[in-house]
Amino acid sequence: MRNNFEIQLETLNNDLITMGALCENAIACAVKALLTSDTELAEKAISAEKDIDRIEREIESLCLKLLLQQQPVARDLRLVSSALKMITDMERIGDQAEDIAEIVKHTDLSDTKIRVHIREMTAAVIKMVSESIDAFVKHDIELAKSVIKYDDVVDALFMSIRKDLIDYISNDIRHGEEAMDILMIAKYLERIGDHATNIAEWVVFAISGIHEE
Amino acid sequence: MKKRVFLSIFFAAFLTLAITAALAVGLLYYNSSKSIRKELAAEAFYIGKAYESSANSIGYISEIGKGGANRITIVSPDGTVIYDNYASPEKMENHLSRPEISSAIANGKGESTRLSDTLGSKNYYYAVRLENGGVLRVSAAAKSLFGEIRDSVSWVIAILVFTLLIAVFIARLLTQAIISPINSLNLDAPLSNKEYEELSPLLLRMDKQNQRIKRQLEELSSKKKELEYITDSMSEAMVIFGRSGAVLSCNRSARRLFDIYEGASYLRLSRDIGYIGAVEKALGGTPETVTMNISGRIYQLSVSPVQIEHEDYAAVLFAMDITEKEENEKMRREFSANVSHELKTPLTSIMGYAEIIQNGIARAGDIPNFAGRIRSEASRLLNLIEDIMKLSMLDEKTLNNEFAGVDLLSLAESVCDELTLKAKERNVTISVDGTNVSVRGISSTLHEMLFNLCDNAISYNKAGGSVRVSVAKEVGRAVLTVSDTGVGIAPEHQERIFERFYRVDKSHSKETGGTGLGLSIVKHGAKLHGAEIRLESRVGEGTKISLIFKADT
Repeated sequence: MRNNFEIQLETLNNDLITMGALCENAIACAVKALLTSDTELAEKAISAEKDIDRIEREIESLCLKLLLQQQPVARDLRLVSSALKMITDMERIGDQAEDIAEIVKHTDLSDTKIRVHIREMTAAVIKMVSESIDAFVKHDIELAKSVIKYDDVVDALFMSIRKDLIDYISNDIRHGEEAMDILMIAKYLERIGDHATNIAEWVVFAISGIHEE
Repeated sequence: MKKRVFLSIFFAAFLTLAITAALAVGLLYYNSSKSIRKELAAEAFYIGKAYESSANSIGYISEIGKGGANRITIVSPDGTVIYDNYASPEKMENHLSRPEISSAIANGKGESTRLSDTLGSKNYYYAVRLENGGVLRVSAAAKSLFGEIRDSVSWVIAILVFTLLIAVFIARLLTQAIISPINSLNLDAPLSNKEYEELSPLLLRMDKQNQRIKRQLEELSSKKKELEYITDSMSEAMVIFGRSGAVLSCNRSARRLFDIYEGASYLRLSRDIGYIGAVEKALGGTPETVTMNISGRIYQLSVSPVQIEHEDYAAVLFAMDITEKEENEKMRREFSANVSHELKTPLTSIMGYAEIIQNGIARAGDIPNFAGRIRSEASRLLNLIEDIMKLSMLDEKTLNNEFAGVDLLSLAESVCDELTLKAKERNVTISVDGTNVSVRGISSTLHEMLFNLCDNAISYNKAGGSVRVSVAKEVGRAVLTVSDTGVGIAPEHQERIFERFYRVDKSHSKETGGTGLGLSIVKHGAKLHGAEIRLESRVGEGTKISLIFKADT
């Protein structure tokens, strides 16, 4: 017979995965909206953010309930405490996706020539988020560590987009506004990569008890 | 049981020990008081005799009284105390009423036992009648049983504790001895236990039940295995979710597709929002079908709720690979769109010319020209419809029964004859060479295929170019090759030219003519004949298309 504690822990686990899925969906929508200039998808990404906020509050109260009522120790305590940290990062990912969607909604970026690097960067970021949640689902430390390493790739892509944009503006000063928007989007993507790294670090902590900064 | 056995033995042992001890004490005490009385009697007798026979009787008595531990009293016949070695006789009351004295006066001897005032001790009295009618009484004090116990209370407690310990020890030992065979019963083989006869009905029954359980388990596992074999050989992935959403069972395809195991949460399969929603809906009681992309292929997932006896819903998921179906569907959609477009174009021209003529806008001199255009558009339309019909016939494979031996060389010659005129118009030479090879096939279809190939070779040629059709016989196969010195096909188009309505040069398709279905017919015809198509082409140099048939044996 399973006790209440185990059921609550499993609910926490499932809720975390669901929240991860919502985040993945939000970024996927935002990125697709960005690449295809589809405002409907942008709206979807914006509304997904509400769901993410709601589930964040649910998980938060579940975590506090677990801490107060069950007083977990060792592994369970690590899961609960890292869950509390992870949801903050996931919620931020949702916010960034929403921000990207907002920009896509209000500005037409379809002519921007430097889409190539943005496309690569979105793929890289989606891969990071997806793999960090995979690492949580499958308790895979190696995968989590590879996500942490992969952040360098995203950072490098951000730098190259920045360089592209400088060239782009110097070619024609009228491209400035568009370039600014792209830079913002790139920055948001880079931040999402950082949050995915954080999630992966917390996954490592939840499994092994070691948290590296 | 162990506790009960232990307590029973413990109480029995303790009670036995305690009762034995108490009885022994009582008996010993009784014996000791008996011997005291005996000694007193003897002492009274000796002293009495000595007293009577001595001259100075009082002096003698006082001598004895001084050294003896026992109390000696001499009473005169009237009850007055003459002598006592413990108290002064003057202070003592008349002793005639004392039972031992009165009994001694009456019977010659008398005895009595009295507890002292303090209860702690007991006085034994023995009296004998002297010859002078007086009485000699000897008395001894001994502790009473109560006093004895009171004085040695610490010992008594020690003994009690000791007894208790012994009882515990014995009880524990015995309990162990009784229980251990029961504890070490071999329940897997109940009949092998012989220690307790009393258990045999129980063990017999257990044996029967064991056998029944074993049989039922075997039945169950064989049923389960059967089911597993069936589900494992399914190409569809099947997953059964319990009420909490955990995987209860999954077949081999599901394990391969999703990387899951029994007991995993449904969220492990995929985090696709549509999928999660479908499973949650099914667990809520509503069936749902979604399509999902898994590693590049399209799967249709149908999740249905399962309810057992009004409990919460469980769910069954089926995942089917519908990639091909989807692609076919897409191709069909594209084809119908293309067909309508292709059919509409010539009809629009015909309508336009006809309207001009009908409204009298056209000059009389132009009418033959318009009529010619109408005719050519109509024939184009006819060709198109014929091609579509051929293609659909090839699709339906309704021609299977018309297979016969066909000689490729003579076929090639007849096709060349038909096309000589067209070749001349375009200033292209056409030639046939090779050997006679026979293949099994449908003459009309093969003719159509070769015609289309040669027609293309002429249409897409340069002025002054050539088309060469050669038939060769190789080991076990026949090869028909059409090579030209035409414009060639760029590598990126080579893959797609066999698709329906695909045109390399879309803007000039009308000038070169054709329906866009020619190579498609070749492809389907080749498929029907089990032939392989090989394409070699270089832009600007020419194209070589070979059909490789299995030789007619």
